[in-house]
Amino acid sequence: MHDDHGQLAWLFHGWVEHVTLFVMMLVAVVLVCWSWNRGFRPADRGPLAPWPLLLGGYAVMLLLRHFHDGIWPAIIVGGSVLIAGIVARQGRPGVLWVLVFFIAALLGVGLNLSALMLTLTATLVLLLSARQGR
Amino acid sequence: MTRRSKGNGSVAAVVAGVVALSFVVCGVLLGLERAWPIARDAALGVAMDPLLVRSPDAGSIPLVEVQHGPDGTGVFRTPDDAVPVRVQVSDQGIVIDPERPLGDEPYARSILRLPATVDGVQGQAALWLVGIAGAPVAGQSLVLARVNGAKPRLMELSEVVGPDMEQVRGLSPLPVQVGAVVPVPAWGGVEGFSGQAAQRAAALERTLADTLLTAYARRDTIAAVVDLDAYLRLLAGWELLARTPAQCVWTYSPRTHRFMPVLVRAVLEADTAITAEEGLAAIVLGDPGWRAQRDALVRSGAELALAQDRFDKAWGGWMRSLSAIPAKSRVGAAMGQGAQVEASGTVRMRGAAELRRSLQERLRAITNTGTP
Repeated sequence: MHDDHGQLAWLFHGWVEHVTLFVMMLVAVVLVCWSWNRGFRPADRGPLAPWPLLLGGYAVMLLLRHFHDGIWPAIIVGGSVLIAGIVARQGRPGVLWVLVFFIAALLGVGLNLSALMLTLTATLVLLLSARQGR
Repeated sequence: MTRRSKGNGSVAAVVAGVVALSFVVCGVLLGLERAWPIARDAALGVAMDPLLVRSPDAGSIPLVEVQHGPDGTGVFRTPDDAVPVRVQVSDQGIVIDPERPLGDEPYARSILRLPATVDGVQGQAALWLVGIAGAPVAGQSLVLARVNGAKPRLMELSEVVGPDMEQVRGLSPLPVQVGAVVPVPAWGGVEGFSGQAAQRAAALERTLADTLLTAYARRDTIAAVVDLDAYLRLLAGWELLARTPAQCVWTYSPRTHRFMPVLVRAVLEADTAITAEEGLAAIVLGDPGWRAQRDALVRSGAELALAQDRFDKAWGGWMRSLSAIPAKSRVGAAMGQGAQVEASGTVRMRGAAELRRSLQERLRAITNTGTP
């Protein structure tokens, strides 16, 4: 006999978790995209948070949060990086797909500090790297 | 801004709006007092540390319900069970006499009462600490209790120490005799005992009152009548509490033919410490051997409480359970301080972290110096 809104409390808890994960992904994507865009002229710059990139990373993260036992995480990470590589060959912003999927994989397996370090390092590298290198 | 980026911006605004709306709806339905800790813990659990995640289900404190009529009969409902009970309402609380033990508790008779302090944690922590020192303590748990359909309140469901005291602890199949509730460290007196127990209680009374007896004679009588191990452990546990107000009952066991104290209630904080300068405690602690034994028990109790972060883990568990309880559900009895009741009836926790720190420091000091 728990209180009247027990189910709602659990639902709200899960909902906030998912929103928090999304915000973390969004922050990472915005950071790397912003630093990537700094290397271009304003007219050539892309969006700060491309929807396909953001949703793709978020999907990888949710999958890894859900399937965290056995061989599944390895399959998901391997598969997602493979897909990111294929997408990166065709679309813009190219290399960012692989980078964002790596960050999503780290966040998905709960290595938040590693994800933060990768994001910050990537941001610095993108900011400091020459435009011609891209 | 291009048409495409305008479209993306609109989608983002709609998504953000839906998320914000869902938060508002949940906040209204759950109440801000409950929704906020849930949201905070969920976000912290994902972003910082999964250990910060707490159950959104009102902590681990179960909701129980007591319904009784004027004739004293009623029913006690737990999350999984319903037991017919006889109920006695008094100033102390509601004494519940169930047909069979409630839930997982081994003891039958219980009392449902307001916590010793408004914060709810002190009674639990004090019993835990004295229990760590090895003294017998009454069983106790916190519940959210709904009495006769009224709004649920945070209450203590405590064991009423009765004749089955040794049976439920697996010590003996024999019933014990139970004396009156007295403040620690006092001896309980002859009240409530009969037969051999009354004779031995009277002998102890005479020994305590007779100032002409030699120390050896007193020592022998006390050792023959009182369960000294339990009493010294109670004194050691009470020392860990810094001699705050506490209550115990004295039981007489036909197994040991001795009187044994059982702690039933205590708090962590008090304005002044109680001294043990008279009566049984003064005589026992006046004996160098027993005093040294008590001091060793104090030290080992402190070490045991600090080992493997036991105290930290236990405290964290209590606070996690209590944090999900709305402040309005908390009303404390007047046994100790530690929280302030505001005029509106809501409660402000006063320095739970500070209390934990000071207690920890005290335990460490005892461990380091070896003296209470």
